[in-house]
Amino acid sequence: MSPTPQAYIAGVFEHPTRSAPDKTTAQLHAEAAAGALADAGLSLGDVDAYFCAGDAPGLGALSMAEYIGLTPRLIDTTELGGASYISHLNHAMRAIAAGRCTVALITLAGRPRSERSSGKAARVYSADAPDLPFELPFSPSMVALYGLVAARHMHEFGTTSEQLAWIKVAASQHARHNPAARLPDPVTVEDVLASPMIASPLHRLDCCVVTDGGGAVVVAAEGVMRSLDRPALRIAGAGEAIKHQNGGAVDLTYSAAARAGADAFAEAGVKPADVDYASIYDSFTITLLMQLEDLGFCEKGAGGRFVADGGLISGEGRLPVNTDGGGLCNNHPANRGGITKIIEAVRQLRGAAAPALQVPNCRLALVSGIGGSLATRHGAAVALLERE
Amino acid sequence: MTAPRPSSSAAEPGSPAAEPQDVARAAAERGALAYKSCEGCGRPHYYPRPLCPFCLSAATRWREASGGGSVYSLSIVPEAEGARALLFVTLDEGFTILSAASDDPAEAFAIGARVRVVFRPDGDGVLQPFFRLDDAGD
Repeated sequence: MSPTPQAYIAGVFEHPTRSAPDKTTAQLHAEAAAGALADAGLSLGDVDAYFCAGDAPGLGALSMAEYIGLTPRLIDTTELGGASYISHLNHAMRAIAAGRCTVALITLAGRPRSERSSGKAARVYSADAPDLPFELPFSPSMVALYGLVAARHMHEFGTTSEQLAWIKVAASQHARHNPAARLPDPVTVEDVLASPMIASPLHRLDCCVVTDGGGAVVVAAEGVMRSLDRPALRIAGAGEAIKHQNGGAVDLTYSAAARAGADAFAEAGVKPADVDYASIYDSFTITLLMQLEDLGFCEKGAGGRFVADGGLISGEGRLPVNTDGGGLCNNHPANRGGITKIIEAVRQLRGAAAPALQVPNCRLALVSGIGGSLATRHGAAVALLERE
Repeated sequence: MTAPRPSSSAAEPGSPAAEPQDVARAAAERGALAYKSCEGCGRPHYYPRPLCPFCLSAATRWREASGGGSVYSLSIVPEAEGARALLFVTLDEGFTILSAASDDPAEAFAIGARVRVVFRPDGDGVLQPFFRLDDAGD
């Protein structure tokens, strides 16, 4: 019996724009697709699988396949909010393993900056959502929903606003090396605490940026990968999960990343201590802290101490995280950070991160995403990427 | 604490009034916080739905909560017209619901505080279960 076909990330592209008032969302998807295919050294005709999520305009994959010019024989529009694209990596890997495709394209794009969409208003995804009549009357903005999680974490474990602020400080220390970052200037803990309270205990600087833009990833089967002049970055393991209010048995102390991460680590046969670099979803500082604990980088409740005093700064901290500046300082296109998490992990594994932040001999990277709302219902997706 | 299901055609299949939010609204107009409990597995759930989310039994029954509970978590949102507080409240019946503070200043609420349901109109004029501090509590 032949071994299971392996899947590799062959190309990535982060759209350089952070403000695109003059472009459509569809155009940003197509530009991202073109960038990732060029990065891989592949062409449109090579793509036989297409993945997109709720940010895709029109009828999702149908509209985008036509616009971009794709004729896929495998299509996946799994929607886990900002975690979708990491889930797509997972599904692309399994489709390649099953021999159903050889080149998978994943795209994301959106214009929340131009459309003035932020986390300060309650989001209505569809008018007939069953939860809506019981939640919308209370104006649950995205920031306030994450504020509920942060407040409970502080109550249970003694986590402080200063500790959360260190997550933003690390992101800003990384962003100053990224010319494309939306917020390239370093900030201090004091700056974070002095920024306006948006929804307690989260300040403005506890929140990610609102940016137009997009990104794309090309996943290739081994045969295709070997023909390309690119480092072979294997998807070594992946997992995903959903967590919700469980019929009213609400527990805000952990996220779906606990299950998604356990599955990913088990499949890859590695453990948190083996990880050289991590891209961890940072829609808000608390989002990142929760995943650090749930993925096993520290004990539950110890995340505050882990991130404090520069714990996430490359070269000096406990774990180099989000060396592009993350969603907190660099980019969070379409209000969804999943694809930029994959892209920076690929840069690190290729040795192509900002020189000052490059992890020496980076061989194993973790990518983790959270989509939706941690407080009410969210998806998590985790992937482990290994340079061969 | 346990009351008969709200009157009218609330449970009549196919009628608009069969929607859980309409039953909850009718209860709110009587000053009661309606939730559902499963005859099959015995567990309460919220938000209310026709099938139990713990066992998928259709044998769910409307109940009315005592209205007392405690704050599980909160987030205070400063706004021009005054701060408001988004809450998770764990009711004495054992389930937790998303709600918001009313009547008392947002800053007066804290995790663990005893609270009591009050029905106040939302932006559309529909009575919804908000919570005030429970003066009768500790």
